Amino acid sequence: MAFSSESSNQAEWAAKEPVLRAVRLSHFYGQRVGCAGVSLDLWPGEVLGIVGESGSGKSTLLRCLSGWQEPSQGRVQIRREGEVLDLYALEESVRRRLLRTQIGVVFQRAEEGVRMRVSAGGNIGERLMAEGMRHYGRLRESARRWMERVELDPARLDDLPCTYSGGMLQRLQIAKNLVTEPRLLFLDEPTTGLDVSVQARLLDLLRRLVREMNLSVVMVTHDLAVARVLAHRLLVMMGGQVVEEGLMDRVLDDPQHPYTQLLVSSRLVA
Amino acid sequence: MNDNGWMLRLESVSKSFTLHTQGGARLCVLRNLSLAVRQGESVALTGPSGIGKSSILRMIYGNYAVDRGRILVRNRGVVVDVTTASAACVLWLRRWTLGYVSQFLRVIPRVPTRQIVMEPLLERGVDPGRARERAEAVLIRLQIPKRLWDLSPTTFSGGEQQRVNIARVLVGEYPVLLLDEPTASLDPANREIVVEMIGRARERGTALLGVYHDPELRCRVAERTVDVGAFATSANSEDEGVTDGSFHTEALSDKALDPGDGSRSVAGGSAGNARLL
Amino acid sequence: MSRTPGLTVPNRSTEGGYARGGALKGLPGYNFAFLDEVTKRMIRRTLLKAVAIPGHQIPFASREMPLPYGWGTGGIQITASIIGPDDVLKVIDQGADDTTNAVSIRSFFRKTAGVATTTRTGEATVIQTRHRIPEQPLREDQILVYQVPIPEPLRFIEPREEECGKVHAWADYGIMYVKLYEDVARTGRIATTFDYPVVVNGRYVMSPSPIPKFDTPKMHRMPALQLFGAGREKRIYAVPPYTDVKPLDFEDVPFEIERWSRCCALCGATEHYLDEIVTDDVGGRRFVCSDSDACAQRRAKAARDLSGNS
Repeated sequence: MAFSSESSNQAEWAAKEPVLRAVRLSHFYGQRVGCAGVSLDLWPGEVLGIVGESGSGKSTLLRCLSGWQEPSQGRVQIRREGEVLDLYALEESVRRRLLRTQIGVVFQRAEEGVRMRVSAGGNIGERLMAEGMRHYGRLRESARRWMERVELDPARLDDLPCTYSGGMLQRLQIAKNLVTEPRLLFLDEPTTGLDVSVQARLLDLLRRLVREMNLSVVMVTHDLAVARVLAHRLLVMMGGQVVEEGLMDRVLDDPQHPYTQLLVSSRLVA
Repeated sequence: MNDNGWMLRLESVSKSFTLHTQGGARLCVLRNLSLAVRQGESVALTGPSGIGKSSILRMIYGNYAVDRGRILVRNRGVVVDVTTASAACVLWLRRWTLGYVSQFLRVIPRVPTRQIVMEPLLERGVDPGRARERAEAVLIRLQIPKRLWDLSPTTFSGGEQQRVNIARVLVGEYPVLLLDEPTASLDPANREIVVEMIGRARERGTALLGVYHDPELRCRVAERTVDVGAFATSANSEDEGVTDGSFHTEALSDKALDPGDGSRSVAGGSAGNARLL
Repeated sequence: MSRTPGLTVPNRSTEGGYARGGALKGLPGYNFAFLDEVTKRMIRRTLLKAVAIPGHQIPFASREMPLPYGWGTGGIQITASIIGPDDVLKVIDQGADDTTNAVSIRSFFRKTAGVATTTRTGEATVIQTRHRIPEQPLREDQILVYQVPIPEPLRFIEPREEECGKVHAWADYGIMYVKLYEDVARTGRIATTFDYPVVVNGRYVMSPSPIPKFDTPKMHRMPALQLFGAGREKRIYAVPPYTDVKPLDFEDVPFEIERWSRCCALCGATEHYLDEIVTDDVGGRRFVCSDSDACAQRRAKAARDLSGNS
């Protein structure tokens, strides 16, 4: 049982480059501030939680980071095989390709991420078809394999998503996004609205996939319990700005900023 | 620094809490705490309840922030100052170096016991088959009945939960172990097993820092004690006169840190700190 | 000549009276072929652009026409813009020359442009069609004008017009395969039987209008110019002569046209596209050619062969 067999060395955390970097991101809706001057790094294999009340700017930040909303100011950089790509400086067609091969986004409302009138298999195969897979049998095989991987019954491959429950829809969204094996996953309130037992199993699945695929994840949630289960590191947002940042359990157990303390105490008392 | 084989070293560490939700009251807990634990050494923290013993373990684990001072952890030539290290670095330490047995088990509900114990190994990238073997070996040694392995420990008795907690840390064979009342809810037979396993860890060269309620047990597992009372601050609040520091520390650890009491709902606080690697 | 007893299918000599004499004849008070010259020039410019970018939908300022949307307002505007006094026009609706729509449109151009009309595929220089391609192969000196209800092949899978534009612009057509996938998943084969999406010139995915997929292969490298007009949607697109037109399919589920064991009850053809006709109210039915001219030609030839032999 020597440690040496498990290759621990400082290079593991010291020499890594961030997979995602935001530099002074700001986004305004007219006069209203979405997020203001947010800079962050996301490291390989890391789950970064963004917590805050609704209206704190966390969803705006997620949209800017994930390529869905061009920010008013600032840059988003994504590292791919050693090269750094400036997400919003890319030509849109290149960005689209990048988004569907390197990035997955799981929305709170599954209808935003799943085609409700296309079968589960068609949904899962969509990114593969977009990437040029033209073999029906292989598309189906991939879809079936991914259904198993997210613990959906492959017998329901041809069923329409509207026959799926809320928890199943989230699993389908996850499969649909991960089928091209992206390195970055964005989760927007992934378990909100699900009943608690479904939540727990979904979170367990996400944890497993994060580890197995070495995913780097940015997750927005207002639910600190969800953050506790999944996140390695937390950003606390208030009024569009990051007010506290740190190791997940340090932020939750020894919050420093008044707003974080308020957030933590009100959640736990509730 | 003077190198005498220490694995863990605290230098002039001070800790206070500022409670912004309570009018900015500032509670000083520790001042100028220094201690070191050598390889293969077992040190016990002593002092009255609520003096801040658990807080020290939490600071070392990176769970609590530190006001001043350094907390150095060494693993195979690398020295990390936990107080200034990045989150990724602290997680790396937790994965490879620091094992922490807390008083309460925090896990995701519905995750089976065996899986929970395998987790620290899987985090290191150990092959699932091998992780399973090692997890099962530790579960057997801690006499957790086989029929419970596929169940979530959330329904277990206190003693069983505590043993799962210990199993999860022992399976990782960390070079530095932080033990917070590891045997508090165990019956004498299981306590013996845990004591024996702590002894074996020491023989392997593990550095241990623990809080043990029972003086007899403390004498058996620790060769040296550090009285935390000597570093605790008596005049706690700087602008609100004297407050009982012990009360506040306890209040924090019970309410803010261990949400297990009361709200055992699945998604609630008890979803807990399953991230303890 | 007649397909159905009692109905005389008109031919060129009986219909084409107005064109003779050389001068542009038409309906008094109306411009030649109904549309004003400015509009025609606008549409011709659009057509040139469409021909230059095969399969790409070009917006145009579609005019109100004296017939309802869905009856061929797009096709009729193209025909009006390209037809000259010497042209011979054929109009078919679902392959037939004798349906209301076809008869009306032929009549419209006889009146407004004074052009000759015909039902013979081989005699026509301009053929306006709804939902079929004639069975008889077309030539370089012919133009086929399609009436198109929905020009956007992505419409049913991607309702956002802006997104469709991007998909076409970047030839990012994976989404089309989602629809094919769904077909095969549900029916075990590609169940799209009409308006089968095609790739034109290896670039744009195009709706061929609701022709049966039986006709799709005829578009490939067709010698005639193919023009497509969608009046309500205000789009024009084109396939120039001898252009590649390939149906979308999967490597392991290839495109296939329908096959059937029946033959036409009138002419006995087995290689024509057949319509099913219910003949009574106890379930009796017959299959006849959808292309009325091809059927008539085949019967006429059979009659000649028969009389020649005897």
